[in-house]
Amino acid sequence: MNSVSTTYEAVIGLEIHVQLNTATKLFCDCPNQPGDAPNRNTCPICLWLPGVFPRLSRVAVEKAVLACLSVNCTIAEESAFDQKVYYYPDLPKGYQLSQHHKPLAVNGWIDIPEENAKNGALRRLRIHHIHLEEDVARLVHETEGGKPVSLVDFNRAGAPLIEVVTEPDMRNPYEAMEFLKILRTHLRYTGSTECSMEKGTMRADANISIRKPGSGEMNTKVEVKNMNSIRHVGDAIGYEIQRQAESLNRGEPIVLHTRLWDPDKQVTTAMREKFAGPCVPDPSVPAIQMDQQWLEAIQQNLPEMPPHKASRFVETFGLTAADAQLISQERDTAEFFEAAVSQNLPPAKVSNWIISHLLPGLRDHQLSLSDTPLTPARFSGLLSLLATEKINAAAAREILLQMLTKDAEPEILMKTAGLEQVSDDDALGDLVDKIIADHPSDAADFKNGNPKVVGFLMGLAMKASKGKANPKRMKEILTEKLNALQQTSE
Amino acid sequence: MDTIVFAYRPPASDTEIPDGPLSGMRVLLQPDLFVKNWPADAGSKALAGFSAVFDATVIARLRAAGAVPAGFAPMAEFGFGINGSHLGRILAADEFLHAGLMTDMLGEARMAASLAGLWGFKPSWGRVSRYGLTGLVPSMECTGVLAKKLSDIPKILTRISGADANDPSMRTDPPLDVSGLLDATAPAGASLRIGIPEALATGNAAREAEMSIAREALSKAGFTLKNVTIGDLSLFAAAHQVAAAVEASSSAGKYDGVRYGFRAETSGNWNDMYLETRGQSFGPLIKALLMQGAWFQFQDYPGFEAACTLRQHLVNQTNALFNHVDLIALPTREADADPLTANMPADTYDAFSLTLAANLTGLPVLQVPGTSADGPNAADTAGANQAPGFQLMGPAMGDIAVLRAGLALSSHLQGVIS
Repeated sequence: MNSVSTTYEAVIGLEIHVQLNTATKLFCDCPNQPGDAPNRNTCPICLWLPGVFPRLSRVAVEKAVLACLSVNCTIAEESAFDQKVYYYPDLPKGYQLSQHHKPLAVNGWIDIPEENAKNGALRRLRIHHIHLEEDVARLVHETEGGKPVSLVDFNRAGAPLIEVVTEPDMRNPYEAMEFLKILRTHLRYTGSTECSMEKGTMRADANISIRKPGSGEMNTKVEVKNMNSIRHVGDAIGYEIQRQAESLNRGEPIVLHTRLWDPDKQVTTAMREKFAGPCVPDPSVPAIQMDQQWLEAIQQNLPEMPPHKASRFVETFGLTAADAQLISQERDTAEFFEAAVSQNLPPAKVSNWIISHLLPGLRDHQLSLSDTPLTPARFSGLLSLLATEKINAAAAREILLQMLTKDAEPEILMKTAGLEQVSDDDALGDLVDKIIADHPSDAADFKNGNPKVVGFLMGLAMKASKGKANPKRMKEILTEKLNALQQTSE
Repeated sequence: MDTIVFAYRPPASDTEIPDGPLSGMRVLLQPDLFVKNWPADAGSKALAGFSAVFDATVIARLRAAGAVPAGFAPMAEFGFGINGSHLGRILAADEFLHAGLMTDMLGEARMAASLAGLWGFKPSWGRVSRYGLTGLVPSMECTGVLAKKLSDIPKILTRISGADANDPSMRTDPPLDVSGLLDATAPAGASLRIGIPEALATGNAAREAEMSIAREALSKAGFTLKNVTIGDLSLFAAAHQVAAAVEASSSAGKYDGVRYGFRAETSGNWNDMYLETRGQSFGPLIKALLMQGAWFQFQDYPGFEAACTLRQHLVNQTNALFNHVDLIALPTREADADPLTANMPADTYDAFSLTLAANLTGLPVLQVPGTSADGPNAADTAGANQAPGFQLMGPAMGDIAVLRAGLALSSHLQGVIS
């Protein structure tokens, strides 16, 4: 790999399809739910029957515009649909409505952290344009009575997509993966899309060519498809750079074609070329005229984007840059953090509990915040119980995990599970007396000047309290009693 | 006279006469307009067996006004040209029919009216909803109206025109207001200036004869005649043909035999099935048109772009004529080009060379029936001896002005019915 990166430099551009999470399809009122029972969400428009016309969804346009704004694009005053002509059974209309000549938005960018940068240096990656298009139908290949058949499911036909087309600004797999991660964060922030490569609501294709470092040449590129995670994108690009370098070293020229990533074998293989057709302006869908008033109304729905949020969290709440970045990764987390902080809790404490306990808990249970009954008020209620020593940290962690699935206030959960902290001196004293009585030799060790015994006895005492004891008070009482023991024997 | 053969006649239960402003008006149609549960093959084998699951907007609106869909006349494949179309002839010959609706892409509605000695009107593009029209050339086609009585045309238009949420490609204007038009005391519009393109009105005996009748009637109606230059009609035809072929190629892409219509038997894979099905589905004229469209789509996109640029230029140039005149009078057909037998794009475009400018530009245009000593409907049913009449074309969205002029003119023409 080292020899490759010094001999050649890679030039990488990405084309990313993102499904918008509108309630309906792009050109009709059918539910935008591709996963439903096959062909349930269909009508004459999305079945592409004769005699009907596409009716462009205003909501889809607005969600798409919001997504474009989140990555710093300029919205075109006029954009229009073209017919991308090709014949394939997943497109029985013979053309796909897409925007080729007049895309919705142009000239965007996002900043990624430079690879191995210690000083927070950023690298700007440009977006050439973003356009709207309809998804095609889904083919299902099956066997009926030993005979292969191909079935067409139109639930996905006409689902709204945006396609993000980058400039060829990326130079290595890291930059491509980082671009996708940050793009995903930004697009999710707008609430316009789920952006899951695993679920297919985000699909990335990579165009890759290589050249002598610094030569500025644009050589023949190869397109790689079929990566269904960001990690696969990185792996596929890495493999493809190596493959092209070896090819050139053998004196074989690079030929323009498309390859498929095989995640099992970790290789790309050439695929049969689909016949690429032309793009003809569609005569029936009216052009989108984005006047200033409409644009401003959409802009008002644009949330604060993660880079701004992170720096504000540093300035306003004194978080570390690393914590601020983690907290602002997802919009729901960031908003949850701010809501919890507003309940008069120390910001560092809130962020620490979110990063160390809440986020890992969600990951373990494969949940997102919105899946849980947990509210910022309940979360801060829990942290208040901890701050006022009604519970200890171990109990707080347990209650937090319960709150991910149980729709109840933290006090209720605390009482139900009997996790209330015991700070009552009499109760703790009795416990300590029993532990000392049961372990006379350890107490004798203490007397002989071995302070480590305190830790051991403390562990036993906490265990005996079933974790509910106030550890601070317990330790004080234990130490007191051991010291008293020493003095009486002297 | 030929036997009148409908392509489809509804059962008697479908022909009950509802109340409404058009109550009892019987309208002949073609199977490219959806009438719920009627066959909807648009004259093509590609759509054999396909039937409509809803009423086209124009049909729903006609029904709501009390008119009765009387049946389908045989039509040219996808309504391109009139080879195979019988609507004009059946309408002229059947005393129980009042009017007909016919899609006009090249001038089909006006040409059928001309051959049958009827009034024909193509509204401005965007006036009438295309929802439920099978269609072929979206940017040129418009539902045209044929009628024995001119006054029936505005009565129908005011019902079928106006914005339709199901056809966002159309304009959002309300229905045409014809209230002042049919009033007996309505002014004749004597101050109108009519442009006559000299080059088109001369140089050919048949045209000259027809245009001299037009001049005489227009003058009698009190209109002022002015010479105008409309430009080279072959440019209109060239721009029309390239754009229409490309649009037709896209529109017909969905006729693959997979889900409806005709499917060819084949032992090969799905590509073979497509090729066989499409090869057997279309007649020679449509096949040639689709091939031309595919050529520009796949092999000569710059040629298509040039045609679009030319079209815009011709639209601007034609619109500018209306700075000097209110309407333009044009001949309708050439004596030596027969639209009824044209079966290739070249002879079809020759036959419609005088009508297609209104489709390319989207302008409203009225076909005034030819007059003969024996009256308009006396020619033989093939229309060969029927005098062609002429066209009155108006500015964009000037449908009312065109119809008003036609009504003023009609009392000065022999044998026509106002």
